[in-house]
Amino acid sequence: MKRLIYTLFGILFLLYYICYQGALSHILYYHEQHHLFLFSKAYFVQCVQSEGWLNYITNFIIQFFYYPMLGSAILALLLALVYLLINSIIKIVTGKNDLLQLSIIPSLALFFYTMEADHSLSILSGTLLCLLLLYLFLFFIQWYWKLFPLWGLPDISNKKMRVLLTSLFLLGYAGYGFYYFVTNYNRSERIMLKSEQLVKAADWNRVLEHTKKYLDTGRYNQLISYFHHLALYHTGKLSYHLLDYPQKQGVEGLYFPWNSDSRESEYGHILYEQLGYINEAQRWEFESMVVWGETASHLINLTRYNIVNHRPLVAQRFINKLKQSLFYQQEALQFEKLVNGGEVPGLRNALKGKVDIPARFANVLNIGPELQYLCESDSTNKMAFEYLMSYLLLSNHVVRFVNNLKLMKSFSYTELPPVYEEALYIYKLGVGSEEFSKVGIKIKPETEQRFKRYYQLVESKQIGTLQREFGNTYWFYLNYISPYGNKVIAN
Amino acid sequence: MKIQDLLYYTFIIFLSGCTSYHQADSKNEKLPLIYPDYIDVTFPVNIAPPNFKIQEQGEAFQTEIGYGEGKADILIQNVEPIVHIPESKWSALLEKAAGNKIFFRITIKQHGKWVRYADIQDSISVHPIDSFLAYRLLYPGYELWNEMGIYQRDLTTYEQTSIVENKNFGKQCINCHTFNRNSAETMMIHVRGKQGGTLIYHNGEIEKVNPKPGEYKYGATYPSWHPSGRYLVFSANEIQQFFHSSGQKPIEVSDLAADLMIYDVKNHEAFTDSLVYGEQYMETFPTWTPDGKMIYFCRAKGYRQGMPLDSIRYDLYRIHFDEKQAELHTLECVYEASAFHKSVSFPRISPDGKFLMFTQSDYGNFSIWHPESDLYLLNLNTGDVRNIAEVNSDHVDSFHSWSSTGNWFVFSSKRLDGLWARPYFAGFDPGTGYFSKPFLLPQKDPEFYDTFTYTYNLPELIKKPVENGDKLLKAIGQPALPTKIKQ
Repeated sequence: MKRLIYTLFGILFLLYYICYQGALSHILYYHEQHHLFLFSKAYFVQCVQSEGWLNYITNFIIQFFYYPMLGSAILALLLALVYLLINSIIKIVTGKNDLLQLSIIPSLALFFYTMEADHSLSILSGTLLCLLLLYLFLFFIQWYWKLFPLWGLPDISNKKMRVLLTSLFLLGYAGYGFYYFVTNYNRSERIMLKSEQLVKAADWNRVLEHTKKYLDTGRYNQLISYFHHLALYHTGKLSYHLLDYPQKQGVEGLYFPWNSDSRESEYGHILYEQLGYINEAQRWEFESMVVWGETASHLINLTRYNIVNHRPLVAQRFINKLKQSLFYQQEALQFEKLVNGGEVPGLRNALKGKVDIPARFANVLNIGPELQYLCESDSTNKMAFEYLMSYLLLSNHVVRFVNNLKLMKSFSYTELPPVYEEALYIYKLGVGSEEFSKVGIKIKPETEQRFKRYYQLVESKQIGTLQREFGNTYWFYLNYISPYGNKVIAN
Repeated sequence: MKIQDLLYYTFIIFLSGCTSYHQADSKNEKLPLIYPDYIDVTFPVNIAPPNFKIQEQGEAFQTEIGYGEGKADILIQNVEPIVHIPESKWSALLEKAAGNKIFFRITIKQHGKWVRYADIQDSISVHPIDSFLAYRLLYPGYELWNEMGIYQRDLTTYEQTSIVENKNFGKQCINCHTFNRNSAETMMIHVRGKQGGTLIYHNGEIEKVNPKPGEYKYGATYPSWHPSGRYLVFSANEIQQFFHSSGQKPIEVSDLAADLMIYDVKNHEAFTDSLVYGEQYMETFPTWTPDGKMIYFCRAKGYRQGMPLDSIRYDLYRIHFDEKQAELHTLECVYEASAFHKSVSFPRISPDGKFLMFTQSDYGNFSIWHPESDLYLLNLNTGDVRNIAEVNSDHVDSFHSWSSTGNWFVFSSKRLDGLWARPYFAGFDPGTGYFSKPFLLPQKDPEFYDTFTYTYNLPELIKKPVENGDKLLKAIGQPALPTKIKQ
């Protein structure tokens, strides 16, 4: 029986470990990104006072998730230990082995509980701590007080029967466990968290793989759409594949308008940072830190933003915090070397040197004016340009789109992206050839032919064919998808 | 073991625990750098020890602290450059040195030799400071918040206790804690959120009220107590945040509308006057004179759609208050800051009624986000206004409050790093109208501020601690009493 217990302990550890390394790897990432343990008295006092002892211990454990293999092993070990401890407690209390292996149930239940990212792991550390204390208490008490076994459970003398019972129950646990895992596995959450992880790692091709998996199901999610557009831009596809999926949400798939939403606050900074709009990135990141606490990613980003914004003393405060962590200490020391230089590798302040007199304030609800401002401030900001054009197209602002086409000259486009040309053709139809000639761009004959075919299908109301052939065109977006109506907005 | 042996070993152990004084091998005439900067400051006689860090290189550090020409009263030796001053010895020294100077004599072991630096001289004022400082601690964020609380710190020790923490009532926002003449027995706090209201503690009773009558457009915001405790004057503001696209100034918090209103604590009534109510002007940050006969406040032209925010500038005004009739009358401009392209905020009058301190910035009134903000002093007898250069820094120097005696004041400064407001104290001589060099709120750990990422909001000196935190918490759960307009 002893061998069986340790075998089961090993199997459980292995299964949990495999899950956390594979299908649940995003869970470790999420926890690691949302907690930061600091080796300081101030952190201890603050954490214990505001979150409690248990969270302090949990945060200590979570810091090791920095290395996913180590984190998976620790989490798997803790869960397997729950089984082992309960098994030992049953043995002490009943004086018998846990024939039905009921002690697996709490371990499995806790494992299932960890499958959701926003479930606190403190319940696991708390359970384990209680079990450990109980076990130690019982272990020592049994030497002094002949209290156990508490219940005289009947023995099953037939070994075969015992093996059969144990096997049956183990099979039951395995079957139900597998069923529960499959039916409760949150695939959407995984896609979102994995995408976020890949976005932060700038692994854009893999971001596209993940976001496509989601979008191919026909569902819409603003965060997925946001990541998808970022990945499209970074892979050079934004202008060409903007309308590959129906943009039912209009411009809101491109960015997060400020809604004072704590969950959204975690993501807004990503786009602004890549646009080089450091003040806005800083604002989003600080708001997020206020809500989610001083996590490593917030401290790192705030350090970076304040360095490039020439606020070294502010950056130093965040560095001081990071230096108190186990795994971000080296990164903090690297930042400390940069703190007075005003430069951080890979981070660009597109508005560097801009004099804020008279003061200009960001439009936090609508990114359109901000993109326009970035383009006007720096004509080489290609990301701002492509996002501006996408924004204008998705918001039906075809006239403003055409007016901004002149900015394309700064970039190395070999030809007009089809979506742009389709919008330009709409403009041509609206203004006449004389006005259109001022744009200085000719529409390709094939595009005009394609429009004729599109128009025929519209006239003959062959919507299925229309969607199949023209679903990714601007014409189709404007006529059938745009949440702002099917008319061009002139101003 | 014989008893003699035991005594001998005990004596040896005792001796090994004693510190031996290190004579200096040489002198360095310069002052040692220390952090926080406690050089040439004036401490109140009842302040907690100002622990500090020596910012000079060395293998070991010796600090002597004493008074006059005699032997040092306190000797601190450490291999780390941290100076932790024993509280009881410090307290005894201050008592002895009140009205005189004390010295910090720092000797550092550098390359095996003990080098003595020039003595740091600080003054000890005979005037004690109010023993408690109340403040709100929160992240210096913008719109979102999580945990925050209003705390009080015993200035004679390092003990900080909470008055009320929002983790105890659903993480709603609390702000604008205001006391009447530094008394914890008459105070108010706003609660914002689903249990929103204003908690008023007066005559031993706590009430939760909504000081805004239904007919008024904007909610009660910045308060000031009438010295009698009967009235509270509020500005009723519509405030919006704006974010700078570029540059180091992150945010502008601006009024879009603001008026003054007076709340009668006794009758739950509010009233105002067309002199301080209406769209033509914005009136904010009211403060009562110590005799309760006038209200000083800031006034700017009313906001109009499209008006550049950096063109909004506030002047200092006052309006007379007739307590018998409970009415406002006679409006006067006291200081037209806008004429110099400047803007005034936070007027605060000294307890003797002779001086008014305010913050001046380039525009707007939320000076805590304006690095150019400085403190100014208006002599109410002569009308002279001066920049308090002996106190100001290159960073934000803003929200301030006087001690009950007027010999001290506390203010928020971001001089340490430009983002986090920290409380600084400075002594005031009402005879000359000048201040001593300010000092940072001492902490047990001198490196405390290096990693403390909460900001000190609205530091207010109080004579005694607030002891009704539980009652305040209980009152938050009650419905707010409505306010009617005074007929």
